[in-house]
Amino acid sequence: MPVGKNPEMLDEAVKQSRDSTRGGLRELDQMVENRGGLTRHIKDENRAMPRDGTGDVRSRQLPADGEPRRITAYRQRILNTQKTAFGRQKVPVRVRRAFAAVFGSDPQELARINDLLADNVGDVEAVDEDTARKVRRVDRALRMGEAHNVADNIVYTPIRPPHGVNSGNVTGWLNRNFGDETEVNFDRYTVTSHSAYEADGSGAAGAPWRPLCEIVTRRGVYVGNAPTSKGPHPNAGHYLPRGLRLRCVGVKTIPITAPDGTTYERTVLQLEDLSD
Amino acid sequence: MTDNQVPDPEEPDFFAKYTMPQGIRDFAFGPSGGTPPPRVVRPVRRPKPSGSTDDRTPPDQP
Repeated sequence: MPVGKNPEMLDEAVKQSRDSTRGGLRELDQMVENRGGLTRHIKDENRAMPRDGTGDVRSRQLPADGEPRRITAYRQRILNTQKTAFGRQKVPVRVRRAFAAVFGSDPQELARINDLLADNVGDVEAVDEDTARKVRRVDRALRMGEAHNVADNIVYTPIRPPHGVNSGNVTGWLNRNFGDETEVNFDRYTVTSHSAYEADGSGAAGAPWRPLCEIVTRRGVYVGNAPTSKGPHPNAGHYLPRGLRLRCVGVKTIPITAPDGTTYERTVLQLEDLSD
Repeated sequence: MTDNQVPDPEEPDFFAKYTMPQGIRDFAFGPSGGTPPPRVVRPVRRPKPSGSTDDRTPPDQP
């Protein structure tokens, strides 16, 4: 059984209302940023959505359509260096506790918080106090981590399509709903991987038509594992912050290379950062 | 430490040791996992025109 809410289709009026609410929250966040006399910490505590914690990052492009997707050992070494730098940073214990509670072994807390965020269009002020405190601390952890990013991340996450979408109509569904330049918002925390193969359920997901998002973004934190031998390690996890604004740039069929060298194809929705 | 273990958050080097645990990986990438897509809009059904039910006039372009 899936953990958390199932995807659903919305009426146009509901979607417009959600977009309007989200836009209002972003305006309020901008007002907080422009207000003088507040410390950085106070501003962060009063935002509805977390700010971008990255600095200067090298721009990267999505791979060419026919280029097999696989994470290289070179790329993972760079990511491991970032992780090491973050690991050396002093992070308050209450922030570490909140992160461990949300991204621990049991996904229930992550699912609960994500569903609350989705219900409230990402407005942390709309959730109960304890949850809001936890969310702000996780935001802080991710912001501190993404400050060490040196280049755009190209990451993958599977899409759970709504009821009625299947192998026969998935490409049409993507094209109809996510045409180029469509803005999409991830109100929730998103678990992704730098490895398309890993995000695809390591080739054993049982739904060969399940599409993936292929996202190029400067945001988020690598939480993979350092390889101890030659070649990339299969754990190439990457957590994206909530409140992410992206735009659609294509629906493609791309090749994915498994660790054993075999290649297969998947449909992807390509997305990239939408700057404020 | 295996991927299934989450380090103790009381340890200062928690983030150096932390790796995405198997439970989160299964939740996100497993057969029933996956991220619900960004909210999408249900297609609007056009009301049937009154009177004749066999009107084959194509709908207006948006």
